[in-house]
Amino acid sequence: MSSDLSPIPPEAEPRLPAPGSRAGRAARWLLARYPVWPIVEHLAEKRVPRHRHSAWYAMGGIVLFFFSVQVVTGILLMVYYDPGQPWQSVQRIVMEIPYGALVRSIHHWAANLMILAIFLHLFSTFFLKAYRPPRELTWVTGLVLAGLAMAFGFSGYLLPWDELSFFATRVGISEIEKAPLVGGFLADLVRGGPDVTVATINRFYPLHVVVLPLLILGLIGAHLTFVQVQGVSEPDSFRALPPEQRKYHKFFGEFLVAEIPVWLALGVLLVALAALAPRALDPEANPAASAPEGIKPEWYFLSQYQALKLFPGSLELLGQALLGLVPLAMVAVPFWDRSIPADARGRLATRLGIAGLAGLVAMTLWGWLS
Amino acid sequence: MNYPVWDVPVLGAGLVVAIIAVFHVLVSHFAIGGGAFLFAAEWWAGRLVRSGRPEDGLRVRGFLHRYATFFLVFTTVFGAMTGVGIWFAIALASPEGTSLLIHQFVFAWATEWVVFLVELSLLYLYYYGWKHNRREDQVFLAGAYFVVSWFSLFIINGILSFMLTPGGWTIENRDLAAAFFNPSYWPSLVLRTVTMGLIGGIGGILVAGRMDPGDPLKARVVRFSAAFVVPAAFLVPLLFAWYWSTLPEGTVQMVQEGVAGLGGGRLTAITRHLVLAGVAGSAVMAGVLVAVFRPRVVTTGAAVALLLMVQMGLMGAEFFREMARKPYVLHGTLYSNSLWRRDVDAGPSVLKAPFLQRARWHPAVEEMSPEHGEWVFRLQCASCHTREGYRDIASRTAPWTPEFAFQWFETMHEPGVMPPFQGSAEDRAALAAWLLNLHGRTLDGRDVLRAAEKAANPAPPPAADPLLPREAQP
Amino acid sequence: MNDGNLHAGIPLPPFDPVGLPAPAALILGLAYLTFTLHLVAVNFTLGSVLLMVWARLRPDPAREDMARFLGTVAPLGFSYLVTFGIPPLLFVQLLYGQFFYSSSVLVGAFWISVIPLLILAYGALYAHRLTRDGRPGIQGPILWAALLGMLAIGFLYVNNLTLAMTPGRWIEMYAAHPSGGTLNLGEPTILPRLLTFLGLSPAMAGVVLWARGRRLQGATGREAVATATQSAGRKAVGIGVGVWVAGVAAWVATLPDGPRTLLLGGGTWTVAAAAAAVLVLAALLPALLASRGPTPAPAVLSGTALVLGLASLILVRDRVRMEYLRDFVALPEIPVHPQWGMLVLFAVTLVLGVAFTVFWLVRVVRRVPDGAAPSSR
Repeated sequence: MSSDLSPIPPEAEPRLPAPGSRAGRAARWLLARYPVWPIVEHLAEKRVPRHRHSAWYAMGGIVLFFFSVQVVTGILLMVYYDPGQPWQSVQRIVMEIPYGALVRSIHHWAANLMILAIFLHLFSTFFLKAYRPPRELTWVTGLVLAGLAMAFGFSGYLLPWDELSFFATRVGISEIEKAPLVGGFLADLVRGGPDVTVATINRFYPLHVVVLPLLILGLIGAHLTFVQVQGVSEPDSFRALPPEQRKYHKFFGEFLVAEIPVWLALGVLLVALAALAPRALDPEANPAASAPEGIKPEWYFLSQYQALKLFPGSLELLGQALLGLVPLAMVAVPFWDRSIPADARGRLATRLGIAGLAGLVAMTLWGWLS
Repeated sequence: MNYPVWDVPVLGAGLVVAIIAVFHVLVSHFAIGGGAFLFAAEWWAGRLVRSGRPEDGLRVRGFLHRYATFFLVFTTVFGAMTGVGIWFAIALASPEGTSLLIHQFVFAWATEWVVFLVELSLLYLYYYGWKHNRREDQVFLAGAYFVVSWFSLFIINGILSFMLTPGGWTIENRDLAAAFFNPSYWPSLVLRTVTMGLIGGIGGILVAGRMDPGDPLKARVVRFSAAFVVPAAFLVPLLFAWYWSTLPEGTVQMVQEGVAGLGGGRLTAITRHLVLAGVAGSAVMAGVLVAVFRPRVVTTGAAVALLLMVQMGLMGAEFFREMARKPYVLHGTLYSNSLWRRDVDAGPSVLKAPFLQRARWHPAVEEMSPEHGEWVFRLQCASCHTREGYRDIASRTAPWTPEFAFQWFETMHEPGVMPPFQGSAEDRAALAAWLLNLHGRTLDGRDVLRAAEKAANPAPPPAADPLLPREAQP
Repeated sequence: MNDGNLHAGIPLPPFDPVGLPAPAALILGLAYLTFTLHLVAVNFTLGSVLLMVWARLRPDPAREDMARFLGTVAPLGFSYLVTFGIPPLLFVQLLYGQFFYSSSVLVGAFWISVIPLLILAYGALYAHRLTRDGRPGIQGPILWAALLGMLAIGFLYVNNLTLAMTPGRWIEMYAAHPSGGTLNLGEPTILPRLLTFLGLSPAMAGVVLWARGRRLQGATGREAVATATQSAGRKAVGIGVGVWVAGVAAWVATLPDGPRTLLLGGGTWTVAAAAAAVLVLAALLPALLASRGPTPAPAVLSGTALVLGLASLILVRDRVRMEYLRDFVALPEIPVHPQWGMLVLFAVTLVLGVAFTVFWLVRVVRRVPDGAAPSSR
């Protein structure tokens, strides 16, 4: 018999299913080949603190749920989408393929709700101060993931090639073009030429279905690994409690199970939104036509778009520089606000966060209404 | 055709009804199913006491009191008020249909009112007598409440199902028995009864969600509640199949065509909502099974999620039922825009007479002016369509040309989801002009008439079927 | 009469093609009966809210006891005022649907807001009751929300139903506001009419307080509360009757010539109107004259006079409506297709249902100790 098989750790024995049972045999078979008991044990002990803000811990799982919906519906759409005939193939999806319109609407709504959930996840993490050491890299990977999600949105929006998606993308890329030095180069690079054409689709499509998925899967893996290794952060108010008053849910088996009905409800919500407000397919894009009135980027780009409008003419560069500082500042936060419990810097960070959130909401609303 | 049309911007009158009704359906079904739950839980508590576990019995009653408080406030404040709300809203959205229902069914409604009065009083006697009543009286009151409240469903179901499947009733014979016990009456009654049990159980899970995970009663209450949900969730699809078999042929066809994509379907919204009901039902089932296997982890959030799934599923089902009647508000008798079927059957002398003279609810307008067109829209289309909101007219007419619009009104009823156009060529021209002006044109009816004459052979549609919603427009 | 075209410029819809399911007189009788019950519940509930607001002004133990009692029964009163409001609304749609549906659409945006207002006011009464031990700070605003909500609902009802009686205004209003975003504000009778319906509120809640005060008199240790409750109840009766009399006088004064002549001309309807006034004024007598004692009899007497007075007012008010509409409709001419079987079913259900409920009401109330407010625990 081969001696390369690992022995079952004695501390594992009492917690495995009975050796005679099928599950018990399978577990031992696996553990003999993959001696990961310490990891299993670590995960089994993972717990989620119970306090009045506990609900926010569910946001990450919600983002992941929407992401899974995107993967599944995205694959289904890929079956019929043809980048050579973008508008015609989408029209076929909504008019001929059984349930095609439904799947497309769900993909649309899940995309929007995923970005919304990311914002909620980001701000709840920020205000619970979960970014502080040792979780700097979780925060940074989270920020990059948020950026990737927005890139998903931007690249996917063009694919139907209808009037609205075409002109909104053109407006969006023209903002990139205004960036100093590299702006023109970057814009030409994503467009595949001086204007948005079908060549742009040939760049956006692989970006949307290959490049971004690879990047995001890798980063999600890193982000989740960080969370699993370090555990869920506890807010200062919870840490301040005497130990006997600190209550926890087990992560697996309790917290995660209680989240299942929430995911189910969000899935039903997607179908409900698709039923009530299906995603429209506008007339095919005509690059020669003049842009219809009131073309705007998607709502999650509106605040930046509106903010840039505050810097007309020669001030534009300043506006772009200031706007570019925002993500840098967000990356820097955990390296600057490090104290647990929060000190003066921590309180200032919270105030800045409130101001930032208010600004984001106000700018988005302003952009939406104007 | 005889009343003013309530022209609600963005929403439309129909959606106002729906918003109130969707919520009412949840609460009213809960008001009955929750009664069954109260009765069963009272009986359970009594059995625990009799079997020598009085402390468990008391704890169940403690839970039951929380349930009853929630039940009382929720069903009387939201259920009863939104019930009145539906009545208010339908009288605004379709005065003629409401009037007909009331004149036909007033004593059925009056009887239902008596039932409701008794039901309400029994609930108060049960709840306010909590401290002093004998336990066996409480069990009786809960049971009586359930039975009496179920009779309110027995009555209202006759009126609701009548609107979709009037059976042997006609406006001439006014046959009350045929109207009440119409073809879809029984399947609808059983379907709703089972749904009620499901919602009563969800209410139990909702109250149990607030209990501490350490409370040993929590798991038992969750499982007791789930026993109301799981069998019901299995039965609903079977009962729906029975209900389905009683629906008008046109409805069945409409739904099936909606599945095969938008191009082949005439009205996909109805199919989408039916899918929603099915998905929600399956999700509720899955969520409750999770609760059954891990009852201690049911949190308020998880329970609210279950309730919201039920709410969305009911929304799908009720939207489906409402759309199934298209283009009628009373199937075969009165169209959604209050046009009487008998006026259509009377032929062109009525149907093609100058519309505004017949409609009367309008100020003096210049013939074929855009105002003329707007009043035709308001009095003939605004019952269902808004300008730029729910079921908007703007996006649906975006690719239209004057001659196409003028021609299209002649045939818009043929696919079977809209009533026939009422009025003369001048009315059609005025409406076409007003619609096209929504897209920045400045036409009046005369321009449209000229364009229509020029196109001696009516041009083929510039678009796919313009009946299609916006997402399908080329 | 069924053809609106007879009235040039007035787009009056024809009567419903189904006709009436019972003779108009019978339906009117049912409408009068149920509307009386509705108004009694309205006045009791609104009066309770008013007296609770009053009791909060200068709280003392007696007033707190009164407010606690009224706060417990007010949500029930509200529940029954809505329930008893349903049949009269059903019957008004049956008899006067041509007018009522039309006017409702004309003020549609406001009319539908009755529903959120109902939920607000009713919800506020429950919130008021359920928060009184935990969060006394928010009791005042909640009570005001209930009060303003109820008054707004009354105003909207009077607005719509006066518009239903004046078809001459319709077409102009509809042309200007097809979304129903307007009110019948040009109608001079609105506020007086509202007072004829709601003026008796303090009195209706007052007699109940008064009766409760007399019952409490027997309970040991609660003499002071009993005395204060009785005196508050009696005063409220006086105030309510005064407001109502002023409201009725203003209403008669603002009526158009036709209906006013009907009421002041010396015929049957003058007698009926006078009877309403006399009955309501008679409610003052026990309040002024009764000696203190433990039986609620004088309060019951006073309350009976108030209810009968309201019932007479309801008759008079409907006769006034017919006078308004005499050019447009005559109820006896509407075709009747009787549904006798359904009528019998309704009557039997009503008798059995009320008997069953009363039986259980007595059974439950008998077990409640004297002087205790009904409670849930």
